[in-house]
Amino acid sequence: MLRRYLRLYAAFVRNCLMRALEYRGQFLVAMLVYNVWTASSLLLITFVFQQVGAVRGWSQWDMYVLYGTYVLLENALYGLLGPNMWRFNSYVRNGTLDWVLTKPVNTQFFSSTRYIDTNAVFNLPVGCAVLGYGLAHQPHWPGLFDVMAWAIVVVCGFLIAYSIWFMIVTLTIWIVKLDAAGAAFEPFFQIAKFPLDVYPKRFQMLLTFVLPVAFFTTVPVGFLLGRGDAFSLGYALLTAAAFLTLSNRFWNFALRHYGSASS
Amino acid sequence: MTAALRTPPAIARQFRKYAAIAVIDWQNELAYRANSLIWIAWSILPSATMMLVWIAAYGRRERIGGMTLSEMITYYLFVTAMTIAITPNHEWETAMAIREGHLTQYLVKPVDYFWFKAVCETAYQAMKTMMGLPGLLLLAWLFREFVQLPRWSLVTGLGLAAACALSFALLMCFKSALAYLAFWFGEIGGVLESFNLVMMFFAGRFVPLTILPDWMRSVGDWLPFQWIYSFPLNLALGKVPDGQLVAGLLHQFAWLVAMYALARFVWNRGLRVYEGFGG
Repeated sequence: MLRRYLRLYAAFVRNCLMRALEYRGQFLVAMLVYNVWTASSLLLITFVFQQVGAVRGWSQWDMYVLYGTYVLLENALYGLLGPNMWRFNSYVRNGTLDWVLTKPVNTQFFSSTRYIDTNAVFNLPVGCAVLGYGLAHQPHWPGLFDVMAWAIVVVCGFLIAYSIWFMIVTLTIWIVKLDAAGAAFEPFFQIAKFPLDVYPKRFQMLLTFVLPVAFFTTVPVGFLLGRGDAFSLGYALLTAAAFLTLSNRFWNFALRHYGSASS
Repeated sequence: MTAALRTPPAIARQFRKYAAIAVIDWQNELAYRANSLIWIAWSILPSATMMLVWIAAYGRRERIGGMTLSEMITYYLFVTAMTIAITPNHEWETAMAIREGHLTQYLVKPVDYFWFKAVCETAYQAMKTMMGLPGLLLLAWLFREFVQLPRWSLVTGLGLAAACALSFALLMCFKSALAYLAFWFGEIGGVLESFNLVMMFFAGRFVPLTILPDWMRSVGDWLPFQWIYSFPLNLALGKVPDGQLVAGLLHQFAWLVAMYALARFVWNRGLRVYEGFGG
């Protein structure tokens, strides 16, 4: 079954890549604009940290490592999931969800992965460059275990972010006139642009145990900066599994309330 | 004679026409009020995040970029209010209408497209302000320890209202002129995004202009964007003496006239090449 879904996903990727390359100009412009936005955020971080030095134990270079991780996660989310989250409301409004439900595949999988924004994938090197630049100014490079732990927690963060985002767009099954549902995740995700340590303690607890933004950037980057621990790694894995299960349960619950828009 | 008395003057007819458009658009926007909550979160959450970051960054510092912590937090509160209340976002719809040919339905109607969008956006800002007020008040309450509302004189209050109205009008003209580029270029999403980024940077939307390095502030002095957010913000924070108020408003007005002329010029040239496929 896993091979079947991997073959299906490969077909989605090929199809989306071919479509993107038909509009090469638009493709290049989108990449350029995204890089300009990334550079401007970096400039802002630089300007602020040049004025204040370190903030609650995070230096300018630590912030580059964190921001590089943020860029990687952001591009993975918006590239692999974004087009589907933005489209979902139109499925409900136009009745296209009926067509999705008749497909012989898991409907949550199809609704979440059919379309890919290939621009975002080609922006990944920018995130790597920023992250590498920050790491180059650290006292020492992270070890293999730290890098693997960082990668695992980033994947957990991706799955948690996906689950939260998908549960938000699922609400459009009830609130049909919510075509901006796909955008609802963005302001919440931006909280991860800064380390959790800058926020008040109660907010940190909320962002670790209720809405786990901690696993988007702060916890994985902790491993690269030599501040990670096994408990955080285990908790990240458990939280990802719990949120994925919750999003699936919520999706199945929502489908029972779906009233088709077509005859 | 009776018929002449019954017929309202042309200006009254124009006013009734655009007032009807505003009411219809208000009703339409209310139907999508759930969307407005999301766009308001777009404005409030990033500001709240930056306010918390600055509180951490100040630590025991008295001033950063010439501003105290209270001034910085109050600055972001006002920035959020202005983002919700006076920031039009019609450029995407306008560009799509041109690209996909939907503009044709407006060209055959007895309305001027620029004023049609201006009236619709005014209704939208009013609706966003109404929906965003509780969130804004919540933000002010959460950060009440740091927010320091300055005492406004009548002159400052009136000046602020005029500056905000001029800022809204400036943005309408800027964004319209950019959107009209769709007459020549099929896809201008990148142009719109880049403009929004540069505008927000030099308008003081992300950080106060005093935080930027000297060379960037020098570049910003030549651009009109500081008159969009930064000038009304400084006015709201009580940093503009009454003597400089009129000069600032005149600067805004001058840029408005220039941008309106530019928008009209681009529109007129664009209509000559408009083919209206689709629609």
